[in-house]
Amino acid sequence: MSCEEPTTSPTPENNITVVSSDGKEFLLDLKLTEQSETLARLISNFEYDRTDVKKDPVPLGNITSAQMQKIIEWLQHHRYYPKWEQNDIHYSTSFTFETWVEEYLNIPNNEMFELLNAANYLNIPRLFSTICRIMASRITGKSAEQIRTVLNIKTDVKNDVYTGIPIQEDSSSSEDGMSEISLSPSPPPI
Amino acid sequence: MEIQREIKTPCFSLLHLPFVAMKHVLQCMDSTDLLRTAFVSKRMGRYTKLATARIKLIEIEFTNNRSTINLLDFGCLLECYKDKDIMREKKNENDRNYSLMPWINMRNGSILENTAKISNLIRNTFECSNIDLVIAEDVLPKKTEEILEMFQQYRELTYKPRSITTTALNKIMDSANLQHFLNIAAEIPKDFNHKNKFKFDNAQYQDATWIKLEDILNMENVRGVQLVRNNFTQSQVNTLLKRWLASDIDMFYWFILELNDGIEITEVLDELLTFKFRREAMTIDFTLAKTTSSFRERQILVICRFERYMVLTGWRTDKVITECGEDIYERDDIYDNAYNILKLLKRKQEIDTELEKNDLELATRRRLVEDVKKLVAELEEMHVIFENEQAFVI
Repeated sequence: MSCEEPTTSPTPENNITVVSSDGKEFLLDLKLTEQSETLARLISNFEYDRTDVKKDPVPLGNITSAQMQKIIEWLQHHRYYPKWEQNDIHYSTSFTFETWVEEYLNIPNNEMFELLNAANYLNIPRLFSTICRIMASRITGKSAEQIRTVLNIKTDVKNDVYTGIPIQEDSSSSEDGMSEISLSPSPPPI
Repeated sequence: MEIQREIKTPCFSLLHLPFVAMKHVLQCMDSTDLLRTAFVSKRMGRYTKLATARIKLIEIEFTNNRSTINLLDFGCLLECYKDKDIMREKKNENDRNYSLMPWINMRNGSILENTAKISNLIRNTFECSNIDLVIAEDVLPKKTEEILEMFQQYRELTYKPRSITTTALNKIMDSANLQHFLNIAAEIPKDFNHKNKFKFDNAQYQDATWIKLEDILNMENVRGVQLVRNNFTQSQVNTLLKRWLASDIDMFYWFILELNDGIEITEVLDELLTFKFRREAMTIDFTLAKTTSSFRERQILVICRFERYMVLTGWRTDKVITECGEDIYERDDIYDNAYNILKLLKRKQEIDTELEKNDLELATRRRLVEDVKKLVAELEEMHVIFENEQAFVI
């Protein structure tokens, strides 16, 4: 197991170690973990912010090392940002982002999908909201077919209404185990 | 700086996200993008519905060769033709058009079938309960009947063609309810009648020549009616006014009648104890109903001559109702004070009548004169002035 340090080197007193799904350890400054409601709650519950408490590594079972690296990059950049406050996001017609964010999220859609899952799991609202907005903006002006391609949605109409040709039905619900909509998905235990 | 919007492959599997995340992505979408995304599959439609996006009102206009579904909240129009449907996004100065084929319409569907299908999808997905129907001038009577058969639930119906069949009229009247707004421009057969003709929240008949005076005199708790072309004479208008002033029940909340050439309402007004209020080119008269019947809740009566129209409105004495069909009356302090002003004016009139008697004792006369002075002072506090013995609120 290797241990990677973020840009600023935290001292053992003010950091915790998290372990990605592929076994890689990351030393995280407690200041950075404040941006993740999941980690912040865990640190508070286990009193890891106290110097006299032994800190066991925290396993993050469904976050890969690549994703963790990316997330630490985000946390570092936003280290001194004020606490995130959700604005009314409904039906905003355009979103603008700082250059750093654009470059940071200039990644393929599948990586964006994984990063959004990780941001949701760790509950990092600024990252979560930013990815959602960017993904929403990526379908602006797209045709039906393009939207299906970008969002990986298969039509569930049995026959094309114009050609009568049978169309493959959307079976993703059975494939991914999401047969019913879960309004409050419970993340796996840390 | 706006984000780069190129498609990057492979895909972003929206439906594989936890619902909280999926909902957030959907809520971040531009409204027209959300609309098109909702229709890419039935499953996507169900998720969109759960994402709590709402459309308040759909306005559908039918013409002879197409239907237009106007989504005012979303800033776009959906146009349904015989062989194609188009979504027109109306934003900024640049309209963006999308074909809805083979998206949500049916291959061999008629315009009406496609319109019904699309509007039902929108209503279900975005939980829209209000549909306004506009039937354009070139729509033939037969098609009107089909439209009314297919779209029975609506909030407003505006019918613009010059003619209408009795079947269509009966269909409209049969579906009347107090949440509906009706505006019919067509000539209506003179012998037509229906018990529901005034049972709308707002019924506007551009041709009211078929409506008889008895129909109006027999109104009971009607919400609002506007009659444009009509054959009512001066004498009939006077009868209507006098009946309304003295009625023991509330005939209507508001009533608008176009007055034919030469008809005036001053003859009836001159006999009333009123105060007048001038607003721009209008003079509005306030008076009290000539009845104390407990069945008449609207005791404050407002009479207004507005261009060619006579506007009659009844107001409650206990509370001010701020709504009115034509928005001629806006909420104003005058309505808060109207009842008190009218009561003081009535008291003043009674004292003035008393003072006209020649056999009054001097002490009584002095007391009454003092009372009048007090009443006038009170009225002045409510911005009432007198010109030629007529009260005005300024």
